[in-house]
Amino acid sequence: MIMLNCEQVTVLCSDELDRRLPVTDRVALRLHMMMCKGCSNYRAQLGVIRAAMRRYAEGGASTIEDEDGTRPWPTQRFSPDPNYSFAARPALAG
Amino acid sequence: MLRFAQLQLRDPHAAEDVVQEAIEAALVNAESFAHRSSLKTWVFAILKNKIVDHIRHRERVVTISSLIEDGGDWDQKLDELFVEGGFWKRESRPATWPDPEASMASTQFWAVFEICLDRLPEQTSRVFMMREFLGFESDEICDTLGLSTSNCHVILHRARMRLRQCLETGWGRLGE
Repeated sequence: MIMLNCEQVTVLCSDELDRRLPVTDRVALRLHMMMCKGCSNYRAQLGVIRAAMRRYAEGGASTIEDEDGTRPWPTQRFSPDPNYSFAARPALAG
Repeated sequence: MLRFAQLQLRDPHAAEDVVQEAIEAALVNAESFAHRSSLKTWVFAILKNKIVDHIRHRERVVTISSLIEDGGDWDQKLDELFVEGGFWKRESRPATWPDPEASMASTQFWAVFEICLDRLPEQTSRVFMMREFLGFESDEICDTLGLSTSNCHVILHRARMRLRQCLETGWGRLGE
């Protein structure tokens, strides 16, 4: 059985959204998911992105408001950083 | 609507054209609006079809070299997420995100989402939006843009990687 590293797994996590993976890849992916929290999170996040895109494509995003007037998330502003670097990611206070 | 079209086409004139066409089509076909969906959803569905038509008829403007340029320094950044053996670096390991349903009900989430979409490099964004927004199959994207299958998948992979990175920084870790 081929063991995959996380970098290879991220490629498969994307590919499985666009095409049917060969069975060997699916098994390898599943094995890796069982022991890697980071990649399980990654895969779940791609699922969230797909769901969000679907919602967005329906034109629903801009009108969505919190129904009960509360905000589930802190109202901290997200300001894009022009010097954004993936290596040194800005730490956001929670 | 204009913003919606602009995000897809990355061409202000073309965006204005398709929005105009969509509004005309909606007015002409107003009697076929069956109230099964909200008016907004219906109009956006028309707009989406107009955008798809536009892309299908557009000449192949994406050249492979522009896509490769898009990914230039990105490949290096991608490598920086992982240690030598291809496993996540501790600080870049993906976190557990807050509940997606609750998130999608918050305006904050969509604000970050739009910023992150806007930040995708142009050509990468075009491929990603065709796939995830307009619902093209990846084969059709490759055909329409004249890309090889593997190129298509690499571009989609990069787009998703980038988008999740941006979302995680801007929103996914806010609750921590």
